[in-house]
Order: sequence, then C-alpha cells, then structure tokens
Amino acid sequence: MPFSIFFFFFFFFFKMKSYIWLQTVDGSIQQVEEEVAMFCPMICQEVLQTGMGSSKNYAISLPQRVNPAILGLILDYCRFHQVPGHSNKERKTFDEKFIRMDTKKLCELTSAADSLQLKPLVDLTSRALARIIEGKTPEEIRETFHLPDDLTEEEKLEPLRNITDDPRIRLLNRLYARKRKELKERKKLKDVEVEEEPKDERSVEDLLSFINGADGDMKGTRTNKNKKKNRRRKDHAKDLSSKNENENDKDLNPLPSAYHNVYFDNALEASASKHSRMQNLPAISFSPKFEFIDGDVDDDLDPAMKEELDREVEDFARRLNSDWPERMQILSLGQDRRLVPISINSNGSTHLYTALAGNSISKVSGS
Amino acid sequence: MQILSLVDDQTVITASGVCRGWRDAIYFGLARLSLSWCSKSMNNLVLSLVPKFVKLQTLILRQDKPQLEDNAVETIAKCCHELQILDLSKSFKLTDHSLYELALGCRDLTKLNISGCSAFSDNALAYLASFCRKLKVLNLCGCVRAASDTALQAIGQYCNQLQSLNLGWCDNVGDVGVTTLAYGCPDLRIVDLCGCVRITDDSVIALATRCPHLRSLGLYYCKNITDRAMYSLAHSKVNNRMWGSVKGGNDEDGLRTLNISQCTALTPSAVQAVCDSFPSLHTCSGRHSLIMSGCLNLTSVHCACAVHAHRAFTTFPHPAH
Repeated sequence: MPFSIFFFFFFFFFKMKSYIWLQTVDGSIQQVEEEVAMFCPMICQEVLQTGMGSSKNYAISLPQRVNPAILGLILDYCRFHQVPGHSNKERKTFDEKFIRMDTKKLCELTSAADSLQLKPLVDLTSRALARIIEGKTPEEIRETFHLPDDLTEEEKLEPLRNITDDPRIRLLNRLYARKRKELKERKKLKDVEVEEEPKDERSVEDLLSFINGADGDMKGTRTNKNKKKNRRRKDHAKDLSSKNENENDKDLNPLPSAYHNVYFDNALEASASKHSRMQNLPAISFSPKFEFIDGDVDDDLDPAMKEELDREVEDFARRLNSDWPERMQILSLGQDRRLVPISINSNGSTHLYTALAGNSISKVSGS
Repeated sequence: MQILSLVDDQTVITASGVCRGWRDAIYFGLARLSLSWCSKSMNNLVLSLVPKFVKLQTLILRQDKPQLEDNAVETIAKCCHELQILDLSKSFKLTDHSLYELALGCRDLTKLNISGCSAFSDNALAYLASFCRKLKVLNLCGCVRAASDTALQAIGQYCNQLQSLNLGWCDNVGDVGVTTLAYGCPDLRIVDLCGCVRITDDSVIALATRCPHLRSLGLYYCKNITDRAMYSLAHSKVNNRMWGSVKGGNDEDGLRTLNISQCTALTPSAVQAVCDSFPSLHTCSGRHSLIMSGCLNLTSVHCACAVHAHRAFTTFPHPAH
C-alpha cells in the first residue's frame, strides 16, 4: 500500500511539472521547465500564439544567434531571476558574477538575449560591453573585439577631422592613448612609492614594553611624581596667601583643557602623517610640566613614601597591561578612531582620551 | 546601438573610427549626440561630424564660451532633416542667418533652446515660427531682441502645439504678445515671464482664461501685476473645473508652481485666494511651490497643509506650556 501511494505522488509530481521543448540552430532539442522558458518573452509569445513547444515533435525553433552553449547561459539567468524570493542584493551579486566572461562570449550572449527579447539580460550585457568600450582608442577596441582594420588612414581620422584640419582634433584619439599610458605609469610609480614606505614591523611584546615604559618613560614619570609630591609638601609647609595656593594648584593640574585641545590636534596630525612609524599607535606622552629635569633627585624622600609611589606606578602599569587587548581592539577599528594622550594626574589617576576624529573627546578615568 | 547609447559621446565618435561595420551602424543609427564637452573646436567638429550622422533627432550644442557660427547651423539644417530637439544655448556668435536656415531645413523641431542667443532678431524668430509649427518647447531666455510682441504674435499664430515657453528677462515683451500667445496656444503648461517688466494684469488674465492646462507661471519682478491678475487665476480654477467635469479632467489639474517674487503690489487676500484655489501650491518648506520672496506683506499667506499644521499645533499645545 505505501508503495502505491509513493508511486501515485511520484507520477502526480511529474505530470504536474510541465516542460517546453526548444530547438537550437544546430538541430539539438532541449527540454526546459515551463516557468524558466516562459521568462523569455519570445518563447512565451510563441507558446501562447502558436501552441508550439508542447512536445519534441513541435519544438520551438530558436533564432539563429542562440547556440546551445549560449542557451545554457540564458537558461541559468532565467532560472535565477524567475524565482521571486531573491533580494536585490542577491540579484546584483548574481548578475556581477554572471557577466564575468570573455568579450566574445559576452557579445554572443547580448545578441542571443536580444533575439529572445530578454530585455533585462540585454541591458545587463550591454552595460558590461559599454564599460569595456569606454575610454578606449579605436585600435584598442579593434583588439578587444577582434574587429577587422578595414578603414583607410583617411577614414580613421575622418570622425575627428574638421574643415581646418586642426591637428588637435585630428590626433585626439592618439592623445587619449598617450594620456592613458602616462596615467598607468604614474600609478605604477605611486605603487612603488607605497611599497617603499617604512612599515612598523615590531612584535606585540615590543609594543607592550614600549607602552609599559620599558624605554625609561615610566622612570621619568615616577621621578616627576616624586618631585611633585616633594614640591607639594614644601608648599604646604610655607605660609602662603590663598592666591598663591590657587596658582600652585593650577600648576599641579596635569593638563589644562586648552592644552588638551592642542594636544589632541597634534596627535591627529601625527597619526595622519604617512611616514610616521607610529601611525596606528596611541600617542602616549606626558605634559611638558612633568618632563625629567637633570639634577632633580628624590633621595630626600622617606622610604615609606617612596614605597607607596612604587606601588602606585606598578598598579598603573598593571592596569595598562590589563587594558591592552581592549586597546588593541579599538586600534583595529581603523584610522578614524584614534587614541590620544594618556596623562597622569597629580593624584596618580589616569585620563585616557579617545576620540572619533572630528567628534567630541570622550574621557575614561581610572584611579 | 543600445551599447553605444550607454557610453559618452566622445566614445561614440571614437567608435565610429573602429571599422566599417561600426562606422555605418553609428552614422545611420545614432539618434542623439551632444558636443557640449567640446570646449575649443565645437564649430569645426559640427562641420565634420554632422553631415555623417544623418538620422540625428537630438543635438545638444550648449557652450560656455561662444564657438558656434552660422556655417555650423547651416550644415545642421542641410543634413539633419529629422532633427526634433536642438540646443544652441549661449551661441552669441549666431546671427539671423542661422534661424532662417533652421526654418527651411528642420521643420520637425519640437524643442528649441536658443537662450542667450542675443543677436537674433524678432523677424528671424517669426520666420522660424512660421515654418517650425510642431514646436512644443521654446526657450528664449535672454533673447532680448528676438522676443518681442511681433515674434510672439507669430508664435501664437503658427505654433499652436506649444506647451512650454521661457521668456525670462525679455523686457521687450508686452501684453499684446502674451495675449496673442495665450489665444493661439491653448495647450500652454509652462510660461516663464520672469523679468518681463512691461507686462500687466492683462497678460495673466489672458493666460488664466485661455490656457486651462497651465501648470507653472513665473512672474518674478513683474512689478505691474496687481490683485486683479491673482483673482483671475483663482477664478480660472472654477471655470476649468466646469470644463473638466465635461471633459473628464481630474481635480489635480491647475497651477503647481507660481513665482510672484518681487511683485510688491500684491496683497495677502488675493494671493491667499490663489493658494486656496490650487491645492498643489505650497508655502510649506518641504514642497515650496508658491514663491513669494521679497514680498514682505505676503508673510501671512499659507497653503492648506501649513494651516492644518498650525491648527494642530494650537489644538494640542506642547506639554511644556
């Protein structure tokens, strides 16, 4: 019993799915799904008007320009496009891949699609051919399409000749060719220059050590901090007027807002520079106020204070290391997003300034 | 030819020098050509190319610097008998001889742009109108000598299919010419009279009563226009609606663009009447089609949607109020 049901459905399915018979110029006959074949207006017209195509004996004779190979391509196109479910993006992608073929085949396809009145395919192939032709000299067009060079020298110049025999017009085609050559050469030169640009080939470990201050930057910072603490202690000891105290506080403030803006601009300029080795790295630097000054020694600090400062610096380094993967992720977002100076406050907290170029600066603080 | 219709005109000309097959296909198949890209030798190019392209229907010869001379237009007239669209704008060097030649050679012209061709006379334009009777679009902007009442009377008499006419800054145009035009060309849809300082209400009344399909009217700087003209336009909608019910016209007919900038004699009530009569006229920012710049006394005029928006705003005040 189940076998008979299966057989019934099998038979029913094949009965329902109707086909159209098509005959190409070489005499070969193909059986094509009706909905695919009917996508071609010429075939559709033939079926509706004459009733042809229903059997092998009454196959629809296709125009001379439609050979079996090209018919296969056309049917592939129809199979995809007659399905209503595809998005515009899918159709576009299919079309782009579909027309990737040699010029000869593209010409044959255009001609065949035209004879089958398949307008969307004619438009598609025509656009592709137009792109091939545009900007070429007659010589290049002849080469591309394997056309005969059957015009005399006089006839070749005729389209661009004028009554006064203006040499500018007469040699317009040749000028185009020369210009294109020059452009190609320039492009080659540019490519060579780009290749010669210095590249940052340091490993992640090297970069990490650079950021963590292995080059001595952190030491400098520590000294600055010690110096500042020392200076602050001395300031507190002195009996100064409130005005002077305010001024000192201002001095200790790591980066005034105006300074941040200038710094941000400089960082953007630096990152935009083509030949900078540090093009894609965050600019990590400190306020000039904190620069290491020779002769400043923190020997007079008591050991407890020194230990506390060491701990603070280590803590900062650890935080920097833990932030590193996140920071790398930000960097990988591209050049639009740039990390701009990390400054160290007098209280040991950090300000990390990140910005989208041209947008407002967002401030991430850590203490 | 479909492939060549997708490439620029320089490529088409280049392609005609590839081989005999391509050359013949282009020479006998090309219907549209633009030489506006040619900045130096357009005249010579026309002289050498146009005789080959015998099936041309559209020829665009706009120039930034005047290059075309009468011999080029003469060649066009003698070779392109199927020409329908011709753009000769800014051809300062052309004289009446060009118009006489075009009149005899290109009788199928439907669109002619001779804006900025200041050397043409009204007699030559009248002669052209008497031969090119299929004209539907005519741009005479800046043709101060050519666009006179005499020329407009000839256009009104012969070019009965005219649908669009630009008379911008033709300050010799008067009521006689515009009135004759309105009577002779009932199919007029676009009329630009910007800067025609001599015209009065009579011209607008003639257009309002005689041109039921009028969609766009430019009256910029027409200082003599008064409320009488506006009420005539507003009233024309009623008349046209009666005709529409007989002929099966739709409610969307009527003015869609009206420029009355610098028409300082107009009052708000008259302009509001026009605005109320034609729903397609808008003062709201998104669909600005009733242009009233320079008329400080007309700030109270609003289209229906602006009024609705205002009402909605006053009915449901902002929660902060």
